Amino acid sequence: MSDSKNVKLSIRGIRKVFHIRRAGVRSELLALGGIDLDVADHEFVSVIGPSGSGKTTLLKIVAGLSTPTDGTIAIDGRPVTGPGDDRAVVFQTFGLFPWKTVLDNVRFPLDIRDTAAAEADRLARANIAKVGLEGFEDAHPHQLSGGMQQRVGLARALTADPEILLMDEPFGAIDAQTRELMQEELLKLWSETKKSVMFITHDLDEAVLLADKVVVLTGQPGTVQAVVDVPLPRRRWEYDVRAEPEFARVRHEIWEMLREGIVRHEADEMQAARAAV
Amino acid sequence: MRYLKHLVFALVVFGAWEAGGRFGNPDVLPPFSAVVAAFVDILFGPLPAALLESLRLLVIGFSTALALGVFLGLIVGRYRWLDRTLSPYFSGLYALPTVALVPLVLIWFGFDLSGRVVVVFLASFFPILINVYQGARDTPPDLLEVARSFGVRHEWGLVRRVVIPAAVPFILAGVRLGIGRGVVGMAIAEVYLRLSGLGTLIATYGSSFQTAYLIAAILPLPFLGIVLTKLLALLERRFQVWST
Repeated sequence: MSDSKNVKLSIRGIRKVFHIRRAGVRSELLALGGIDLDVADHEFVSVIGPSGSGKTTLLKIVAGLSTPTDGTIAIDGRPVTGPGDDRAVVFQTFGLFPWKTVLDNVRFPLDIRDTAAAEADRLARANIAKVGLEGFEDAHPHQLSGGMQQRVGLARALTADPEILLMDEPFGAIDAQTRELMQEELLKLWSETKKSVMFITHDLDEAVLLADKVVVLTGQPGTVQAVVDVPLPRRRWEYDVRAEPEFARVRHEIWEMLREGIVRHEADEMQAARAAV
Repeated sequence: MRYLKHLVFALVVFGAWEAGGRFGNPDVLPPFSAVVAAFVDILFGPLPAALLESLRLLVIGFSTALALGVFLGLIVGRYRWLDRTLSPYFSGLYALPTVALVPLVLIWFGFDLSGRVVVVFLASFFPILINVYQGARDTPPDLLEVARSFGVRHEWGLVRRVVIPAAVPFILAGVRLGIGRGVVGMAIAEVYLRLSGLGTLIATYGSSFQTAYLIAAILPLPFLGIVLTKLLALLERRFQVWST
């Protein structure tokens, strides 16, 4: 376990202020209030928090798609400011190009890098097979179910061969049964590739099931409330994780933290709604 | 059954036309058979050369409109401030009938080929421009984000890899509208600006009351419209794979 102590991704003091203009009135919204977080080599980190905790904003900043107001993102100690080959994103809404076939969607990261066509083709086909979509290379996204589309999204991210996989509620738009299957397959894929993963979710079971540690964010503005280790053995597809007493304990611990935030958030929403009526 | 309906309808319409022509004044309404005879006559006479001249005008005017419409549409669609500033003018110019501009085009560009090309261009340009810029403006933002996340860096890269492919259905809709209006512009330019192509035939037969020949010379216009629309439908079907 010595290599797991090497910090792969380091998030330091990330703040994000959104400038909003509604009905001509300018206001500022503090979405992230100073986030510190480390993801080690080969580590799987879930980030969970109530809506409004800025989970997706944080992921976009790490991906280089959004600029933080303050703070730094570093990979292997090197600060990064924009997107790069060392990170790849799996998007909540899949983000597939509807005019491209499955193969061309999966090849996309390599086409951008001008990888030789034959090589790009070979790697893309291998990853399509890895996510179980062999035979669908020439299909278009709209011909596939949500679960299959996200498999394409995953294959595309794997084809980019990043050091860190950034997953933004990837199974949020997928039905419950398919989701469980996808979680299992993600665990298998991760154990083969051993990439570092930052996994955003609002599903508590999913967060615990997948991760080495769960980062709990509080509501507006998003700050790190706690980092909870998940000391369950790996190869978690080989046993019923949810039946383990340790799973229940970790889940309960996080739920108690989230509960407070969710109750407060609900109260705020109700108050706002009442004021609007 | 489909063809039978068409056949019955055609028989009724053209039969009534034939009867009306035979019993009425043939200078006002020549019988259908006379129009057919006139068409065959000009088909082996002045029609091919005239049609070719008209098509040349259409092709030059329309392709200029297509190139400029797509180019400017993409630029305006990508910059919100340009869109906000210019779109009222586009809407206004789109609504303006081309025929109203003919005298102005005559003063500015004369009645040479350039003036006629300008009329066709003006007719086709705005529907293409408006559709392209709407398509470019409505590029799904999440797809732009996907492209950026996988390393597409420059504006041109985003336009080439995301904006243009996503706008293809809009571009084709603009082309369909633009080509229809281009045919109208062509007819207007050739009749009102300076007689040329089909316009020469139409105006000559009209002023000499050769009504059967007049109608025969008008016939290629709707045919042209149908042929061009069908060609586009074939093109659109290729892209419908994903746009529906």
